[in-house]
Amino acid sequence: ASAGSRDAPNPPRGVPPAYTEDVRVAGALLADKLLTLFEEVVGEERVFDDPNMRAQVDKVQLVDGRGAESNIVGTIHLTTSHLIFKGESEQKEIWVANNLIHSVERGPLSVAGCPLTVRCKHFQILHLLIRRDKECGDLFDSIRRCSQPLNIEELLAFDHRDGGEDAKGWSRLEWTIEFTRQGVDDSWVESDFNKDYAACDTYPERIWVPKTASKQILVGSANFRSKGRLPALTYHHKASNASLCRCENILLNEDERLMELIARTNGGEGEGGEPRELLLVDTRPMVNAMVNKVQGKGFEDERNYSGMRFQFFDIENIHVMRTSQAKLMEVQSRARSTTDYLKGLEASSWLKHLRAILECSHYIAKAIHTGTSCVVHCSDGWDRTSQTVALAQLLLDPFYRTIHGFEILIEKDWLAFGHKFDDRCAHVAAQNEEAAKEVSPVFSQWLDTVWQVFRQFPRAFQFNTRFLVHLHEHVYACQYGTFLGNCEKDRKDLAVARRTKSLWTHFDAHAEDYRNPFYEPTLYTDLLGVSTRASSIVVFSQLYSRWEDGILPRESIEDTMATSLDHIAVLQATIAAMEAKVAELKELTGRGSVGSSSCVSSFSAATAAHATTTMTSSLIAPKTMSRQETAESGVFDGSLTSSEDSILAGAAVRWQSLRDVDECSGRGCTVEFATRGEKRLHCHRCGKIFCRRCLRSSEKERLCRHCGDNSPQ
Amino acid sequence: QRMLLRLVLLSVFFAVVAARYIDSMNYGELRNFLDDQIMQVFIPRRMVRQERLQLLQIMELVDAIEIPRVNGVFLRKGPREAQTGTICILSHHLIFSPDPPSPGVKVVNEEASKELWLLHRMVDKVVAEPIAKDDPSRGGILALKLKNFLMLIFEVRSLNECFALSRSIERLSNLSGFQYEYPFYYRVPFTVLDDGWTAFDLEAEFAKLTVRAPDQFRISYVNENFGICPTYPEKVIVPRGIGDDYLRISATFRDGFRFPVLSYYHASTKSCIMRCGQPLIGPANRRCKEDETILNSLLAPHSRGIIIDTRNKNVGSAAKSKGGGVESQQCYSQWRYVFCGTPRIREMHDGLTKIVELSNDDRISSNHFLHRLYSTQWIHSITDILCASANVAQCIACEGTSEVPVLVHGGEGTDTTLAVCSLAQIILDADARTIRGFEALIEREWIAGGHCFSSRNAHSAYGEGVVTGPKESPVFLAFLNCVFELIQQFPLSFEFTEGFLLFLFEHSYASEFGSFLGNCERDKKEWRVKECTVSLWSYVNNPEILVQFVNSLYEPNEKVIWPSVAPQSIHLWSRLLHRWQMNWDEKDAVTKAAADAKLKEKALQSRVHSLKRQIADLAREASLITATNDGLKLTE
Repeated sequence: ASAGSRDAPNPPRGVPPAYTEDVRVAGALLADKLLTLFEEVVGEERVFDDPNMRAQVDKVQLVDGRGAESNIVGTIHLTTSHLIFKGESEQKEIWVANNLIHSVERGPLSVAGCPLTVRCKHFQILHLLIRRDKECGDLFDSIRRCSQPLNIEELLAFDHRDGGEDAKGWSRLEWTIEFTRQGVDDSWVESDFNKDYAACDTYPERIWVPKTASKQILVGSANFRSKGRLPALTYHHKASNASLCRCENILLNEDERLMELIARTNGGEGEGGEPRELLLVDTRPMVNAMVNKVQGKGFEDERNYSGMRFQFFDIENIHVMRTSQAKLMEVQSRARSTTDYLKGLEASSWLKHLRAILECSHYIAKAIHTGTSCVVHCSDGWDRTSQTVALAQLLLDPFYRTIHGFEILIEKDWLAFGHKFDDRCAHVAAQNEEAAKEVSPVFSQWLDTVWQVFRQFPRAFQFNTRFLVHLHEHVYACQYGTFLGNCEKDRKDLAVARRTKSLWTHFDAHAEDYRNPFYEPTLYTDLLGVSTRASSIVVFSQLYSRWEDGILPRESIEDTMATSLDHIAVLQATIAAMEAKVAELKELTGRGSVGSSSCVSSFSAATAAHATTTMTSSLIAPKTMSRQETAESGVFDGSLTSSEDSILAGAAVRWQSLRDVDECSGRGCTVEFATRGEKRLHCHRCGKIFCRRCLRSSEKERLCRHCGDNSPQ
Repeated sequence: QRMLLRLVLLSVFFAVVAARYIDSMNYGELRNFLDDQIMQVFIPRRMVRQERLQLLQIMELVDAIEIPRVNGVFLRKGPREAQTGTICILSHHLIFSPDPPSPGVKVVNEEASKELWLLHRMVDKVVAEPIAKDDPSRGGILALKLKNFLMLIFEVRSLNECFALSRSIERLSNLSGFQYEYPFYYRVPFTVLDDGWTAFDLEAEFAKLTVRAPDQFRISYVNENFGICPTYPEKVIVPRGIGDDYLRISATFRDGFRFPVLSYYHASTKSCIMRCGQPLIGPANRRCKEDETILNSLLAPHSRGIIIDTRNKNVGSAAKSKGGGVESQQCYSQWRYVFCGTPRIREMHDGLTKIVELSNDDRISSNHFLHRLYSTQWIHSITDILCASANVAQCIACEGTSEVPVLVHGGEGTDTTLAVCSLAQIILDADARTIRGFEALIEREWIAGGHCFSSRNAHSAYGEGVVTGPKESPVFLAFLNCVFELIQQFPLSFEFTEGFLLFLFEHSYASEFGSFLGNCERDKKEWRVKECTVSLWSYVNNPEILVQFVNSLYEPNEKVIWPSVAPQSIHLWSRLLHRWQMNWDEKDAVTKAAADAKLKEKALQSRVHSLKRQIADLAREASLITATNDGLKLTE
């Protein structure tokens, strides 16, 4: 069966994230009700060659962290790519990509067993109870080893079995197209001075600089910086003709010339031929900048620059953010009382940091909006600068609030300008203390700030919360090559575009999951009305409490609306088909009375052709019905199965309600959905909810296995 | 005689007004103004029986108005953008009418040119002070802090006028006495289709109950004319086997004479919620056999009941020295005692005051915000009440399958006891989550249940200080906030919207309707509230009004909705606290979009149904024709 599914011409689209291939195999097997599932899966997955690695542990109990539910007994499988928990009796399956495992902890042995806690980077926490101490120890060592790859080439992304061409995903950002879209005028020009990453290895090869800047100035500017990250254009706001540049901090005062040239690109000259004011935004607190200056790293000295304004923002460094998020997660998982929670939240300062980023971005966006060009920098220009610059663009440009645009924004300001994903996310296990200090949730924090804006303007974004949550997971899961490497050069060296798949392709394929039903493309141009008051910034519980279903709201207006829209489209198609049918029948009866025999014979032929399908569907329909609860009896309108057209009759008018749906309704599957946040998809024909494995989508409709088999086509 | 009195009064009034203000008003304005006053004062009221008393009241109301009209007032802060206009003070309302826009200026916002009407009762606190302390000629600032947390700030040109306004409003908003209440003067601008005073009759409720639990309960008229318990209604539901004499004796043993009565009966588990006041055990360790009999009569053989005390253990034990206490384990051996500490009324009042103050501070830093949020204890109160209610619900629906009676009481049993009982019903019963069910719940549990609305809601968050006494407390608001938390977690399971809760919140503080008048049913009867005023439910149930409160995404949910009381799940009710500081268009638009999609989906579904029928008909016809044709062919 596994071979069959691998050869399947049309692999089911839209597998839940983090488990593409493997799930496809597993899904096929499940549907065939093979009890030996995991032997097969493991056979497919590749077990470790090393005999020291423990691949399977039976009779493991999964403990609910909040003590609300009883333990689930199951088996743990460890493969080269995933940690899998499969419940024995219940349809519980947990798949965790090895790279998502953050840490494992062993607890003291107790009567119940040996506790093992697995913490994941996407905030899932598995509390396991293992019977024997020996097993627990082995599993502990094995998980630790496989979750900490020593070499980047060991990552899951390079292990993708079918290495089909993925040009579409890998060419998401085309600099020329993007800058043309932004409407960059001819005062900016593409410079080739970073060819082969000669001047700056953490920048892209192609950068845009003021046209008037000679190569000498650029080289000079790059040379006196420690990492050569000179001011380069990232965004040009057409409406106000202001541009946004980013760079690392300044060492000496030789930048004056380049800054002036940037200021001059602003087109309109101020009074008296002076260039318009240029805003230099330092995202660090003033104190940090001063310290740096003392150490000789320095910052721009106001006296050396005329027509420039300096602004400091209190965004803390990566170490503070790391500690802050750790505290936040501690509070999220431990706090039981309101007092603990609020105090812990305050102690973590996470919301304070979010607000600082939001305020800084808002300030930059406002300045750009009013026509003041900005140069943003921090220490290295790849953490705080990326956060604020990207968020400011999101506030300014509606294009970046579409799914496609958002991906370009990430490609541009995070990937191309060298945010160190390898180091910050610890794709390769941190080998020493130095490396451990490099780890910081800078990108997830930015996603959090994006969500804060999203929360205030749900109609301004094409994507939804699920998109951000899944994006966060994939940054760490390393299943796709997009977020590998520290900079563009790294990715080129690793040839990720050839050897791995792009995350964007995956997202494209699952667009229906990530579309925000409230999106109104033309409603907002800028989002400068965003509120940065303290009460507007709240904890992103869909991300941090994602795996604790009890905490999140039980019902969602957004999902209901998305389903409604989906259903409306299907109903409209059905109505069109029915109207055609009515017209046909009317014609028939009209002519029939006259007595046109040719028409009658064609009709009876059609009836005959449909007869078989009618038979099957009318036979099967009541059976599936009886399995459903009686409240859903309206789902299937049995009265029409006797009529001629099975397609029309078979389409359920009412769809299964989203309420309390935790399992797939496929026969033999009934697997639990991983979280409440996962999209529930209906079969267009029978109107019931299935998991991704049990659905097949075509251009026209999405059918469950059962309806698909009975489909007349 | 009646007409004569009116004439006399009119002339007196006319004379007074004319003498004072004739020079500051032109004739037309004066005329309009007087018409308003006459409408207010001289409408024949159903209430007016003792004419002279009425006259005196009117005189007093009019007397309180020191200055009926001030021109050229600048509204600096309020629910709309700043504008200039005129303030008029009527006996029950304050009206701010914006100056007509100067000709040629296009009216951008239609809404902003409308008059602003404000019930004096809505005003929580009035503050008047000079704009500049050293320069009284610059005029004064009049700040009206309303009970719905809105703050209105006016700039008045003359300082004296400003103070006069302030004194008038202060006096009018704090008049005590039923005779001054606006609901008695209010005329219904709509036809009452469904009278709210009779819609939720206890007998009808009881009839429903008897279907589900025959022979378990009965209606007792023991409290007729409020002879036993002043805060209970005249009709109460009690266990069937208990005679009125037992109830009378039990009443003497319970705080506020609130003997145990039925609050809710859960049909599927046959468990019930009873509520009462605390037992008056006192230092002398009194006991009351009759009370014990009443409670034990609820128990099935060999089963145990649960007593839930809404106080925490310390408060409960401390009450003993003051004559109250907790049921002793010896006398009530078949009952398990559970303390579910909920906040006391003073804590809630302080919490609200602090949290409103916090939400008006929009420059506060994030950490400071959290710190102060913690110190307000408001969220704690909400969580505690919700938690206690979930506990009650759990006792009813989960623990064991058979009949588990739950007795809920706190101190007097008029505050958190009611909140906990009613929330438990919302959690358990799908009916209480419909609009009508929710109305019935409020009418039954809160209004008839004896929550003293007049005392508790005399002032809200801003009224701290001189004007408030020990009795003010936002218990009802806390209850609404808990319902909001439930809606937040189950947005599709409620037939009504968040807006309905806000509407109820405002009307519980100041209203043109009589529903929340008085402290109990006895007050209502004494002042003939039900005859003389209109019920809030008459207004709400008017289909034209009702439609704005209906949640279009409502999908009836028969199940018990178990809320999460984890601290991560409890959110601040921003729409309540930041209602006037933030723009809610985005949120409304989102809800509307979802509602529209739902409606369209439903319309299309019915279209499919009708098409199906049509096709079936046509197909039958077609097959008939085919058959006939075939038959013809055969005969040929």
